[in-house]
Amino acid sequence: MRTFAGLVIVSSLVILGSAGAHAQGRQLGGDAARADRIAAASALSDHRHFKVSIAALASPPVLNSMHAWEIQIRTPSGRPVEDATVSIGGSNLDRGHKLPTAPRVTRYLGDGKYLVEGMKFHMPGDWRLTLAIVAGRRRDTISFDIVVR
Amino acid sequence: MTRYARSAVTAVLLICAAVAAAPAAGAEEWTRDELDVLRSLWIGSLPDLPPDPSNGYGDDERAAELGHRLFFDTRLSANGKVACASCHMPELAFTDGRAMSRGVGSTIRNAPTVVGTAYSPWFFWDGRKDSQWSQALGPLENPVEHGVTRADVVRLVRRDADYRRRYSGIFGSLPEPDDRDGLSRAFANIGKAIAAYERRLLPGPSRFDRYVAAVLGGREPAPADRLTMDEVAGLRVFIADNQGQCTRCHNGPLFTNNHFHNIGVDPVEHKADGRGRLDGIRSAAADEFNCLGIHSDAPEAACSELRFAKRDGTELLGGFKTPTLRNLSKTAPYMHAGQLETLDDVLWHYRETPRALVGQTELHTLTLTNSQFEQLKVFLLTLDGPVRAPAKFLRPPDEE
Repeated sequence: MRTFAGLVIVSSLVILGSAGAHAQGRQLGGDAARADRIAAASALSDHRHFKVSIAALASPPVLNSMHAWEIQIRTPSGRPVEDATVSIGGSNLDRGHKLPTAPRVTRYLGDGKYLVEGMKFHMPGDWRLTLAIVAGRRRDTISFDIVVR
Repeated sequence: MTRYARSAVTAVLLICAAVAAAPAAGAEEWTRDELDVLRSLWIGSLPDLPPDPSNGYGDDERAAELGHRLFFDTRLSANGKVACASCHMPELAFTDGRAMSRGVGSTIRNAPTVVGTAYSPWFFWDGRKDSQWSQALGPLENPVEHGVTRADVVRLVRRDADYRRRYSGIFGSLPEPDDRDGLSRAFANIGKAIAAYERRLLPGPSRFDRYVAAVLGGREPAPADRLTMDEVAGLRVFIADNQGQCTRCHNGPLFTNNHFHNIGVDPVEHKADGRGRLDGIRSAAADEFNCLGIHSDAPEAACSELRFAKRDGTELLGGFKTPTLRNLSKTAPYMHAGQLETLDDVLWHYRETPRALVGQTELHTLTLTNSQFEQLKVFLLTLDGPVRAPAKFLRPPDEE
């Protein structure tokens, strides 16, 4: 069983690492949701090629606002992956609504970190963010489940 | 008094006491999650008015004064009879009560409110403008709305001594008549002045807001602020995720996510109509007055809505901007061409979920009874409130 890293964001977002695009995310939080102010999560990608961490930069990201995320991609042993191409997709798990915007990586920040700009959530509910990562000959995907209030 | 009479009197007194002590409307139980949702819809949660980085004059009082005058000026039209206020009437929450507005000609659009739109990143039903100031320029040059050119507009400002003085004091000198770039710059400035005025038009508290303020404060609402049992029931339906599900799109203190959704409203009889956001975003991207254009005061980094807007996707086809639900009693008819005349018609639409003629409707069948739809309606009417703005801005400018 993979471990899930879930830290809860503010009153707006709850993030959970997911074992894969079709796995059920486990929900952490409850009252803890109101305590933390940074959203972050970390997990291994679906075929275990990458260790991926995500963190929202705006504190807190609020519904209907554009905000940025930082994604860090490392090898399972912890070395930064510097040549990755990342594409970001997502949808609302209740009704299948897609992300309202077209977020993308705009800058490499060093140390395996990539800046993703243009994120927005326009509906409360359960969202699944899916990243497709290509680095050299390795390609993999990972999903994070996010509860938006 | 006999023993029985005394018992009867006592019984009556006890019943009266019990009724008097019953929870009044206002003492409803709300769960912690529900209170969070109520707080998110409450006018008190509206953040401070955000700056518009693309309008360097947005918070300039002099620009707002000039914009106020321009907004009510019918000389800004081909026939001398159409002002912005002709379709955005203060007494109708800045709408016009028509299904489709009339300028110098007939339009195919229902004039939306201006109130609170400073919080929206996109303008027009299809989002083809990305700022309040660039939106203001659209109707001016639209042949069926105001029907003038930018040269006409700048000429008016030049020839009216008061406008010329005000304009120069804010923006510097007017362009020479043969300076085409300067002409567009001056036209953009005029839009920025109109937007500086429009930004000031904000929603004031409704009865719903006063009720929520009391509930969040842990106190009994004043009698005038209470919601009836049906209104509370409608509110519960509105926020429940397994009932109305309305906050999916009608969220936040303005009751809109300011995004684009296809809800299967029929297009009007016009071959170019109905494509909604799919065409709108393409227009916005090509607009000379957008955030990335030379007349914008914003650095590129501040233009994230435009830079990261979705340009493709089946959900964009037939998608129109979620309107606010505040002041519905003043903003009928409803939808982008006024297709739904009354709130009853709107609720019927949400009950029947007709198939979309363009694209795909996002509406799903709701498992609500007829009386729940009625309760939704009476709740929606609790969202009526005044426009919060300096009083002088709610009427035509006083004669100098």
